[in-house]
Amino acid sequence: MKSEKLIEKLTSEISVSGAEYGKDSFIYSEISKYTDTVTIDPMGNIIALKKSEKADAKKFMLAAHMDEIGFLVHYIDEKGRVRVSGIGGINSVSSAYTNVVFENGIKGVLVAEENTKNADLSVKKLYVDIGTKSRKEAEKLVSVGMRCTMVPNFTKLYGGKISSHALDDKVGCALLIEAAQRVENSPYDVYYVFTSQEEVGLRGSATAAFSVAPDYGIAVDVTDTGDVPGCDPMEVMMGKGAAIKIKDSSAICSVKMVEYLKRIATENKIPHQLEILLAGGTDTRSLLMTGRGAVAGAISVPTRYIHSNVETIDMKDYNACLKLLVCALEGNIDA
Amino acid sequence: MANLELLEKLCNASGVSGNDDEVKDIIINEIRNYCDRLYIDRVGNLIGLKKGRKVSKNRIMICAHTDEVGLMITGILKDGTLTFEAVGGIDCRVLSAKRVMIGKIPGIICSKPIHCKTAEERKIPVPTKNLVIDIGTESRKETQELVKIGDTATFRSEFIRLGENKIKAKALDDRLGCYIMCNILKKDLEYDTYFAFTQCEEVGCRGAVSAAMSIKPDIGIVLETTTAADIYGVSGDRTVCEQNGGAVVSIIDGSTIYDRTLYKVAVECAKKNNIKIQTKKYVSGGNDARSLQRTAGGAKVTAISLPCRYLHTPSCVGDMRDAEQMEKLCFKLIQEYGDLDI
Repeated sequence: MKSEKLIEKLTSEISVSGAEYGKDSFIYSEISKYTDTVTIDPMGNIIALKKSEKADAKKFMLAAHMDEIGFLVHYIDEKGRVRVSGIGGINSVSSAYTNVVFENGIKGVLVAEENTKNADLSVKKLYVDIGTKSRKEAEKLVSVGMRCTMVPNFTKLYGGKISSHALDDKVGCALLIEAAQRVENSPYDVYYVFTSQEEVGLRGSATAAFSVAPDYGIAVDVTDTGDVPGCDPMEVMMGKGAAIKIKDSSAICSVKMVEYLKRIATENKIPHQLEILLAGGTDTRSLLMTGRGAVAGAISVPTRYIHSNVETIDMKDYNACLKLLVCALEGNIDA
Repeated sequence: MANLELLEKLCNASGVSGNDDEVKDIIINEIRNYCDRLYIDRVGNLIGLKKGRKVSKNRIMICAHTDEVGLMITGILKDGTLTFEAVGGIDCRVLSAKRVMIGKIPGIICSKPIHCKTAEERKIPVPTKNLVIDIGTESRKETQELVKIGDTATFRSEFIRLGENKIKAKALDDRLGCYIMCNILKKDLEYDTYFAFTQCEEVGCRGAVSAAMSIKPDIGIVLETTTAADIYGVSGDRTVCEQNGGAVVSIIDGSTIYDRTLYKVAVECAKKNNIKIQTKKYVSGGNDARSLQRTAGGAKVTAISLPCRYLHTPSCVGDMRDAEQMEKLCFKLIQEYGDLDI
């Protein structure tokens, strides 16, 4: 499957935090093809292991989160309107007046109460109109606890850019799947881990990292860019290559990992840039700090409009991230 | 109504986070003859293992916290009154003019009378730092003989019956959970089950971390209380849950997204056994489930809660009909969860 198709496929399948992909999912069957064992832990992390040919290989864990931000039904009123709570960091401005789809395929429109000023817009002011006119009618279609997210809207833009909701972090998942296909003869036992509940506080990666107990770790996620009007100053630009994380608000990456990724990128002529993310955390933290800890860092895909319905990336950056990831797994961090 | 003597004892006991020996002693006394193993771990969790007829496929840990929100004395003023800090989440609006017990010493929380307040001060609730406890002494020296800095204080609020089915007490959060655990411990169980009476939940679910790390459960059941805002002035979408609506089973709260399989099994189990339950309808709060779920390699978790009005105040109100449903559900779930293919 071509990268773009793979990303489109992943963004079209709902996986709001706490209700992620399971055994019957595309990710599970796809990663099973390229790895030796696949398990799901109590938190719902999908953990796939590709053993090294080398005996006593050290453990290298990759983490991309498979959950996306979304909404959860918490109340249905007497007129059949569905009140939702936000899961993860919701951008209410972007969420208002969009098409949404529930886990069971029921569709609705997420709208704001009339006369809500933009400044007062919050999830509390939003509700889903699913076309029903009474609670009884609505309860036949949706129930408290059910999740919804944006209707799939994958779009190709000019010059190899793509836009969709939930690129955060379906592109990371796509990168893990593609890396697993390509990596040959890694000196490491490579754990491809699709983590749960990242968007609500890096929760799944913590238990996954505890069970795997890796020596080395790389989180694969999206990062902000400093190239849109009104943004905070930031070095990362869309189109300038794979971002090698130095720091975000949850983690300071191991110098050893940062230097290794820089070296690998330079040796293999992979376009890259250094990332310091001002606001936002990633699974990097869990890799660094769980159990006895690991030497860890992150590779990020520069992404515009994160946590909106139109997150946008450049496939050139995606390809640079993929190459960097593959080369990093085939190389030797201790060389 | 069920036998309330034990619940009354538990609620009236003093057990502010970090200082809950009195509560643990009551529990130990109650359950020592029913446990196959009973010990207090290094952080102070009381942990009991009760053997069942079989060892289950999944190791089950049931958990309720012994600590309650309260106050800690931080200073003694010249006039003999005491400054204090809240331990755990207490809305400063509920503090003024309340009766408290600092160990065996009674006191009253006092603040400036209304006529001494500026126009600005009248508009806002008195912050905790501007409140003091008056224990009737007249000098620092006199107070020093009775109270030390670091002593904890609880609300003074006796356990009473309220109407036909309800009770009012301080610390129903989470002595009610402890009470139900004691009741279940006394029954014959299908499977070996761990019972953890945890420490310091009110200050960040701390004790449960080490309890989970040493027990390593596959499945955790948390017995708790949760806000029932089914009261005058609250709109439907903000009520969270309702009294006499049955045991509250959670899908999500402020700190945990609960396991979906366990939730489904709980709902089916309730239906099968005619147990009244309701779903928590608002994302708020948090409890030991977060520690159980995410310690070490993780566990699947469920929370069963009592719909409780006026939580974290001297006057928590609970309905014993809901408590009964909680106990039934928890007891049945030990069996259901033990068997489960997960």
